[in-house]
Amino acid sequence: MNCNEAAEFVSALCDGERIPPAAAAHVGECEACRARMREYIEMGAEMRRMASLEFDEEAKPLAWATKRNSISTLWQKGWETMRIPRFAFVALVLGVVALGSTLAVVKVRAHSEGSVVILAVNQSAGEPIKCPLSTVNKNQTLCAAWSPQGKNMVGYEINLLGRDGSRVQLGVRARVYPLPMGAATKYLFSDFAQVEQKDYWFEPGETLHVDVAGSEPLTMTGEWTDHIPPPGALNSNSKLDPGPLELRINSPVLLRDKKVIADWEGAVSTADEANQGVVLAMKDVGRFTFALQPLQGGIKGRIEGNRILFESEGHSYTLLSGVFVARGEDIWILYDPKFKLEDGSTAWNGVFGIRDLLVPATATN
Amino acid sequence: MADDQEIWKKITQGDAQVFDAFYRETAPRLQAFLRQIVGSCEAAEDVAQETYIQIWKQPNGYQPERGSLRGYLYGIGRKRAADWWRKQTPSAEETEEKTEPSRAENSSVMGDALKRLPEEQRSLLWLREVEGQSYAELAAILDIPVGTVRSRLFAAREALRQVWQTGAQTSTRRSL
Repeated sequence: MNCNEAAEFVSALCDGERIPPAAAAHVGECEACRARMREYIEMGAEMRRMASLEFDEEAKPLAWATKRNSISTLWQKGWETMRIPRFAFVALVLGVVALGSTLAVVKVRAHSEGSVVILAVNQSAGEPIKCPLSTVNKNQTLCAAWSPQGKNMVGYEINLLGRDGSRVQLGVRARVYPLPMGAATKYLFSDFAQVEQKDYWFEPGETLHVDVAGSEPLTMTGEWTDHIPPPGALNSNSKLDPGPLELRINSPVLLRDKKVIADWEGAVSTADEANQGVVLAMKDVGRFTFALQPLQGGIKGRIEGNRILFESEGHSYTLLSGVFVARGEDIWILYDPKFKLEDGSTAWNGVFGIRDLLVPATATN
Repeated sequence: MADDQEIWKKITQGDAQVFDAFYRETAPRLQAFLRQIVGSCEAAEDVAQETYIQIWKQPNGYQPERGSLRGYLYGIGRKRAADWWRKQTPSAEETEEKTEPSRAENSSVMGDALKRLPEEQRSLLWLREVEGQSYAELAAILDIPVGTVRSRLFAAREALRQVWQTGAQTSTRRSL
């Protein structure tokens, strides 16, 4: 064996590989090959030395949105400031935050090969709340919402556990919240951890009754479809053109200085009344309140089609929404970077009453 | 960190806490690797971010029998870096090179030498020498047969040796 033939094995030796005896014998006796090996080793060490200078000590914090179908937690301030009856407000909030009617859904017949079940959970007021649950996508198997049921407010979390032919197994945790609502009442996903899960087999096309201690049962229907509809497509108000008072934020992504810092994938929030705003919160980023009216201490931003642009503390922000945001160009933003999510959630969104946050009418004249 | 399979299972289940820990643990080294490919800190950070977002949103394709989760991460990162290059205009490439040298560049003959190698050789050497990836993992990351890894590594080492020696001699002459 000569040096040219042995060279590749010299390289392999540096990687801790075994080499043929003939190559090993040659390298043992050949000063040129041993010099080559020393060079390879030295190069490796030099690369590692250089790499040690390249490593950052810590990665920039990023927030990873929890993959829930509907993320809705009510903001305490909203309850204190609502003019409309609180009970009705709940229906309103959930009507727009959770997923709505069946427009634009490609339905498939029951007993067919659809992979998504659209559950419709009835509530006392407003349209049923729609929860799309996938039997194939593990990130789309959970749905949580709060809605009025008779004289109570009921919160529930539905988990798709499995499928057997045309029926699905659902794990449901539900609990009653006291009425009337106090200012301190909060709706937290972690509430469900304290509730025992009950499992049900459900055949889409039929009606399922879920017993809830201390309340009327939840009733739900469902149907098979072939896909998860895009965020907002299940809303009753699914026109492309926003209404006069509407502020729509669908599946938003937030950029700070052109870097993505938060992604509320699948979250749908539509404020469509005066004195309502949309709130988005993300772990390690903070809470943003958006409104089409001036907010006390708020930053004035600009709407450009499906984007909201604003600046805060020397940073430029762009919120990208999946739909056109509003008819006008003006928007106000309150940013609380110190806001902490209380229940271990990564993200949430919602529509809230903001009357107390608005700049008084006299001040705007 | 916990076992790769366990971590992967939790990531596919959407466990943000586990994914965040994985991100914090691996991101600095991934960014250093990507800097070797794209040539600038800022672009490497962007590509790394896209890599993690891709894995978080579509966690599929990891096969434990083919190697470590870290190796899988580098494979995705390299593909994203290739996509990044495809999107660059010639003028943008020149700007990147000029405006943001890697941190150790000015003081490292090795940094200069590496830059003169083709991307695949640069990646191969970095993943082997710095990240300690096995031949099987390198094959998976670079999408080449395992049997080819040894010869490609040898070719890369030889190429680096030639460039490095030239660079070292140039430096010596300059300092005289």
